[in-house]
Amino acid sequence: MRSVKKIEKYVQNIYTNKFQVTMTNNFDERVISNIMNTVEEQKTKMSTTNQTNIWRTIMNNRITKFAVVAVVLAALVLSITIFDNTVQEAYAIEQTREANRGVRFIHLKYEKAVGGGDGVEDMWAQFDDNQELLHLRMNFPNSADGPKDVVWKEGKAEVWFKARKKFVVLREENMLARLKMPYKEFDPKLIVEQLYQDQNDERNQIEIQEPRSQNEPIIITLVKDGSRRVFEVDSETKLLQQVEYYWLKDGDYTFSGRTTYLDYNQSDPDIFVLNPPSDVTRIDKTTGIGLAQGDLSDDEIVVEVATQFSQALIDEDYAKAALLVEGISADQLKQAFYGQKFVRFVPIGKIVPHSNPLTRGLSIPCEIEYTLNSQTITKTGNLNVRKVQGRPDHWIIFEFAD
Amino acid sequence: MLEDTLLKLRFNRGDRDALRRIYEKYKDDLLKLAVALLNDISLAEDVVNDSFVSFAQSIGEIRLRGNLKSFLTTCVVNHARNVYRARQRKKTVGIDQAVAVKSNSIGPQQSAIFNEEYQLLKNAMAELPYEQRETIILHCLNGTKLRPIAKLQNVSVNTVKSRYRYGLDKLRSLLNSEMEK
Repeated sequence: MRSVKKIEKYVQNIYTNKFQVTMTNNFDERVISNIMNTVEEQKTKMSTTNQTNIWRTIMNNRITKFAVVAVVLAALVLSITIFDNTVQEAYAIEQTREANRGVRFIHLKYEKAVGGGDGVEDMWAQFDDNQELLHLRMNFPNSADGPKDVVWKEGKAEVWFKARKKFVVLREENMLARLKMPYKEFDPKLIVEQLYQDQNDERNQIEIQEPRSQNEPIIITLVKDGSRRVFEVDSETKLLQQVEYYWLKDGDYTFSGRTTYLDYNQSDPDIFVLNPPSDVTRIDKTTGIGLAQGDLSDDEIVVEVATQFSQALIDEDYAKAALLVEGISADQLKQAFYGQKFVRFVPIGKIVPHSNPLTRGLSIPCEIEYTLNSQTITKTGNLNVRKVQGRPDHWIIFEFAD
Repeated sequence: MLEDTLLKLRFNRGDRDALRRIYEKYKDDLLKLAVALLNDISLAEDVVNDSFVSFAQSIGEIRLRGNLKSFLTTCVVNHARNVYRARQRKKTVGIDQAVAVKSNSIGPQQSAIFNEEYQLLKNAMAELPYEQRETIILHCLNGTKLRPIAKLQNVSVNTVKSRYRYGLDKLRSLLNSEMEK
């Protein structure tokens, strides 16, 4: 007979030593693809939800409600119009898609129904001949950081925090991707592409009103997923002039915001240059990070980066340590290692290429000793180091692996 | 320790590479856990996939604190429990569906990867009430202490201790009788 204690040991032994699971083919690819798609969808959803919530909050105001009723009534009155369809050729959304292909520069303005809000107010974008975003400027008059202007160009983002009197230059891929996110909500090309798809979805209602004269715009009304969007298209150029957004609340469509497209192809290169006054503190995170390779070999610079980083942690010099790690600020490092005191950080093995060749990194095995709650803990792991993006003569830590 | 701390920081900032690394680091342990709980590789893979999709939905939105592995373990255990309950409901639909339900269990190709001793244990575990099985697997396979298990199962520590003890008692009698055959 086996005792309970023996059974416990027996079960643990089987699970530890005799239980192997092999995943099916393509499982990794399937999961990674699913989670990456989810992240993309989530980011889009988050921006839409935030917009909805902000406007729901704003629409709690009685005065605003009356204003919205007035706007809706005005829209209704305007829509009861008899059109002369005998003069012009019928409009199709395809014409605006075609017109968008010639857009190389745009300035747009976003207005919310009432008050300011924390979003973008003015935005300028320049595209190359393949319609890829080349330069972007966004002005946020009421962001959580206070008023700030952001310019994205040549793989770098410049952010001018006006209230804090700081001007920061960044080169970090994820940060740049996030800065570009708001633009996607306003990009006339993406908006029209979506509209083109929406018209073929029978769950949506779409109505196109032709103009009575050449001076009037073409009006497209889309009702979709509890929202109504009214698009105004220039009847001559066929480019988008304006989009108004309404959200369904208590059975009524309430006005939430309006994007106005002001200047198409009126290029102004100066708009992508921020000129903060001289009393503003400049922080250039693209030049200070990483460690210069100098005459050192690749292996030697990897050891040097690891050594300097570990010494900075032992000295609790988080400002210096942060300059040797990608995308982490000194405050974040300090917070992450709060309560831990690093004692020893020793390279213990041969430097090898990172297991994922796409990272173009080198791994250095280390032994780390630190104290936490008066206990001394020793762990081994890898510090992964690579060249700084856009600064190949400098090296930086991009990953730790236990 | 170092890696998880920085992965959490990066996850909180919406970094996809961090999410990918978290997946690479914990997928094997989580898949093992799900297979042990459900005895079905394809269902276990779905559970791990769904857990990471839920996790990905929270990127940049939640402030991830605490132990990363515990957080993911909780996701997998909760998803596995839902799948188990759904499967139980399906089992009670009718006799004509019994064959389909049975075909959900481990197939010959999959069983080849399991050790014979594990097969004995798996069959015995299948006889336990799900809560007892979950408790034993979390403690013996995953190394989770009883207090966190209580928190995860939303019951008192004493209840978890009872589940663990009764579960092991039943396993002992099942395995002893199996060994005597």
